[in-house]
Amino acid sequence: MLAVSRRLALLALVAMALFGIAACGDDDDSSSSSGSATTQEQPAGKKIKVGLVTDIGGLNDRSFNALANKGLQQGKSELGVDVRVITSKSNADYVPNLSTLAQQKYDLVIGVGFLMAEATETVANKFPNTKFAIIDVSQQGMKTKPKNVQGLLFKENEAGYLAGYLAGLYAKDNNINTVSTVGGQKIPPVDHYIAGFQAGAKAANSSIKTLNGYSQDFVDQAKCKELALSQIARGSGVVFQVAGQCGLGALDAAKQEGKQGIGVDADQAYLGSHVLTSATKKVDVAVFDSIKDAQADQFKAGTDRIFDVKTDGVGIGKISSAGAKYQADVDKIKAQIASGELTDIPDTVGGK
Amino acid sequence: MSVARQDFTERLWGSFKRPEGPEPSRRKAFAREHIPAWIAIALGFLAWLITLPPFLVRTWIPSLILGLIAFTLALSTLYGGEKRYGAWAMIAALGGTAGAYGATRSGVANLEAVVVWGALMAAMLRYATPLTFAALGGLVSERSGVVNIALEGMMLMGAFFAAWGADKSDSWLIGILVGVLSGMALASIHAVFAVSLRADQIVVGTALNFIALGLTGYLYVDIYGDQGTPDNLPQVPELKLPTDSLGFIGEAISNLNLLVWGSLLAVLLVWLYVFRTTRGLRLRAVGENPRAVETVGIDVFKIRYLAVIASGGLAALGGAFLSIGFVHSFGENMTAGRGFIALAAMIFGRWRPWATLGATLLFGFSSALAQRLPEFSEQAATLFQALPYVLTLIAVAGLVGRSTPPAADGVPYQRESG
Repeated sequence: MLAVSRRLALLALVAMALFGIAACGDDDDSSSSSGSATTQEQPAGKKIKVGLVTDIGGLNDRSFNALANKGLQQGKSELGVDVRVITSKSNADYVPNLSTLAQQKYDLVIGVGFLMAEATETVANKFPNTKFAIIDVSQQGMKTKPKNVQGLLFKENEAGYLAGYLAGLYAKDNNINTVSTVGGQKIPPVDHYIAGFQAGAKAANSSIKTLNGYSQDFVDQAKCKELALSQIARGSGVVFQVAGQCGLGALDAAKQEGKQGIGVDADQAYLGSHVLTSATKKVDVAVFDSIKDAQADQFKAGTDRIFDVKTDGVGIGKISSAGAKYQADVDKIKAQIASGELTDIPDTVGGK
Repeated sequence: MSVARQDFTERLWGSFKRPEGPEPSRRKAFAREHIPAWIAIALGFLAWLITLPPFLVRTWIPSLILGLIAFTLALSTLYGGEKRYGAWAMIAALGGTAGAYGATRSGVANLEAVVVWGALMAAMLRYATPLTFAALGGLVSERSGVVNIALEGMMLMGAFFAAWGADKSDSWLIGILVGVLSGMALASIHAVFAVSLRADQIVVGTALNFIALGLTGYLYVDIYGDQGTPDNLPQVPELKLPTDSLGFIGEAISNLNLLVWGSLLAVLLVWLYVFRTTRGLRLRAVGENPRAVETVGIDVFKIRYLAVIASGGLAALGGAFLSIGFVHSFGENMTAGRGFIALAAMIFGRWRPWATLGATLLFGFSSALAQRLPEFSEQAATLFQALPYVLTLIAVAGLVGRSTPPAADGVPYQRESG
């Protein structure tokens, strides 16, 4: 085939091309390096570097990861910080993604989701000078309790309770005797939502039946749609999706069958009139607040920060026209939770 | 093998010697010596069926009796030398009895919740449709002698471009057309490399899978960004039939997507074309002995090109069903390995259209069931998800008998010079 010299030249060309591509890969180091975490007090607006590592659901889940990114971009536009988002495609990506950001001397690295709890603990211990914030994970619950991590926790069961209460009221007036939930995986944040939802539905409508299922997947929409369809076939009139991007399939099933759906994390009312309401979780607020704190050197590492109805960290989204007449009732319950009058909302999904 | 070991295995299997006769793969499935085995399998199924809704027999005794009869028949089949049929009969007998026992021990409410035949059948068809299209595509390609591992990539292209086409043109029909064209385009690359350039067909197929994944992912993020595909994406309509009251089959077919029916039609058309027309005969001949076909004056390259491109179109149809027919949106890598399961279905079906349909329906049924089984045990939910893949393993491990591909499958054809 090619003469030896020509082959060597070709090889050298390919090698150079590869080096060139590799060199172009990283575009953040060239920005300013003034964002060191140990500088003295500077006027607000200092340019720190904030990185976000998303969960496997991806940025298109229109709920969890999308909200986190929204908070990040808000930080960029309002606070002027440098931001970067890395999406994780599988569980194996968590540690490499988090480490990449820490190695590049990011001031604040935010992990999104319960599934990356261990990864965050590992990387935080390896990079004690970088601040970490992790959503849905308790720093106090970590084995080594790293001092540079802040856990951002949400009382999803309160949001679920509000959504469930609305669902129960709607079901009572519309001759529906079953409501159902479609979970992604059986992890604490998901179960908090479901437990709260079931409790709220029973409080509004004591004879209501609840169904629950897990798709074991936060990504494949077809799985959640099948699950929702089988729940609807068993009589469910309201489907609460707690499955990120996969859950969009469940909402699609509700739309297709003419039933009501309830969104999660973000306000998913824009998806259509079939969305009765959404159980909202202000992940964007949590992310933005962390960035603001880090910028002002007030980041409280080594603790947990809890967002609940009282602090307006979780709540209920826009109620569609189908449920508009229950707005007052739901607001009343919300006030009761906020004031502490209504307590003991379960956060674990019990046996059948 | 050492002499001692050879002697041992001969004595072990000695009583199960296969009778003299033609090769097993050519003996008819329903030949006289196989009938006891089929009865045993039927009885095994029956034993389990009577404990399920709507019959719900609550004692184990009838099932046990049926199981024992099946077991005896299975034993006799094995002693008659039919190892494979005997094995399946034994599995059916034991499995049916065990399943019946499990069903009688489970709560009636659980059983009624899980075994809803109408919904199960509908879910089975929905899950099987993309598999059927892709498996048919693989079948057409492999019957012409070109191995097509890139079914997954072609499916993904079909899924994305069908969604994009439907979005841009506001019509699901054009969406399907665009999707099919994109699958064909990817397949044409496969054809060039596999047929003309005689590259290793598996390597080319794998590369195309990656290309499709990257291309669709990139275009998706580029065109649809963070918000994803629009919510008013044109959808392939459902075909509503007034058969709701005709038992569980009527219930199952009363509201199926057009493309689900399309997949069944495609099986019929592919079977008619490949096995009942002259051109189909040429296609199969090219897959078995291309040199002989060339001597008759038929262009082997052209037939292989057309077959591979057609396979791309078929696989893309499967993807189009996923995106605009079922989920009504596109997500990165939404096919999630279905193309490979379709390959297994094709092998399970021995490169024959109707058997392939049977295989995809089996996979669909196992998925539909696996999704409802967590009713019995939530802890084992993830385990049930493995059910379709376990079936795939059984299928390709050869428990369905020797699955012989077309003779010239995977071998690039080289025209003799001069």
